Amino acid sequence: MSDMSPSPALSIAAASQAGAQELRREQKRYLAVYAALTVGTTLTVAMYYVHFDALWQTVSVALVIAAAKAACVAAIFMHLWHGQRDVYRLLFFTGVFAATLFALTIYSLFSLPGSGHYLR
Amino acid sequence: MKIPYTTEIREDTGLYNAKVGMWLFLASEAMLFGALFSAYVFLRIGAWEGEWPHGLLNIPIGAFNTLVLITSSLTVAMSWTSLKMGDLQRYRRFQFVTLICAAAFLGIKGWEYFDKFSHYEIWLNDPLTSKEYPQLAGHSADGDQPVSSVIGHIEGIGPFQTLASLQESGASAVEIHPDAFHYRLSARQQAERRKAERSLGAEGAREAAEEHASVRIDVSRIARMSAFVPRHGTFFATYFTLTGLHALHVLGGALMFAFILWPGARMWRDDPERYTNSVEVTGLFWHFVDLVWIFLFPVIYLL
Repeated sequence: MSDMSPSPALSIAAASQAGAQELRREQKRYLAVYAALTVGTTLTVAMYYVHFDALWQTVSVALVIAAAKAACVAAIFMHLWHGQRDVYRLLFFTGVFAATLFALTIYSLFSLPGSGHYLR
Repeated sequence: MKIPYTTEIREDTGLYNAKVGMWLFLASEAMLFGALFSAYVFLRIGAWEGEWPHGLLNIPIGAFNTLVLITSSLTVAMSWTSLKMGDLQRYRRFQFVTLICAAAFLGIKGWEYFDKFSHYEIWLNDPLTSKEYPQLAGHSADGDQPVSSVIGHIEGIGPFQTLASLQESGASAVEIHPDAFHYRLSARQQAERRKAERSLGAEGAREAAEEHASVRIDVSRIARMSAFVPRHGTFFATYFTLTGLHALHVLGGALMFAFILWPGARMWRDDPERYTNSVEVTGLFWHFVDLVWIFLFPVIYLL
């Protein structure tokens, strides 16, 4: 184990003091996101036991909570918060294709006899 | 053969190459899961009201598994920052916890699967009435209507049995313990029943025990029998496809982390920046897997 310890010459911790401080701040952000995700999970389970009049209301609330949690993971854990222009471009196209896929699915439901009654 | 690798950040992309590669892979993964989710939406919305099963999955277990996966995402992120600060020991501790979380997630999922494989639904040629089987009173979601199928554990038979295997074994009847809380009731209806039971105290407990009392059904009356396996119906086919593929991703991510943590750790001595990058890109994959579960849990378990 000890032979694997970083030598001072190799250590990327040789990063500046300011860099180490930024990493410590980053760790605090991770802990904050973890707390938010835990609360989000609790809310997701709790909302299932709350009475909603229509299915679409339940679905909307569940997906809004899930989207908020996903945004936290993508922004902080996956470092998108730090502004990675080319990744944004890539994700934009992914989002467009995924949205088209879902739109076609929903659209096709209206052309099937007897289906899509939740949407009408 | 040595694979060329550079840790330099490219001017045009603002990223090192491995990270661009991982994001491209994740984009393709998003489309893969997107296609499966859209298939799920198609089937779910297209199902007639009352036809989509409810209450067949264990919500507390699913919620706990969500927390396990979220915890592993935290430890992955913390391990990467530990490496960036040059603290290999701290990185190892965090990654060890990540692997424990991955094993726990897969273990719990495996237990859930086995529980499903040992649960059965029996469809009957002619519906059962509460007059004939008093223990079935109130089992249907709409009161005391006759029930055309019964869900529960069957005494004395293992997982994956079918009507054909039952007939081959020469059994003339089965003893099924119908589960009132697995009987096409939404979680809210289940919660209301449990609350009503608790408020009745000992009387409620006695009623619950009566409801769970076994029902003896002649094999000749059974039209179809299936464990909760993909062939059971559309719900379990989509459930096993989505969660199975996700579990394979968890397994793949855990294997990559284990490789980097143990045999791959030699790289730390020779090229620490590359080693740190490998943890970061594998971490990106892991967070994506977490992200997929964040949507899977409410969609499959709760809606």
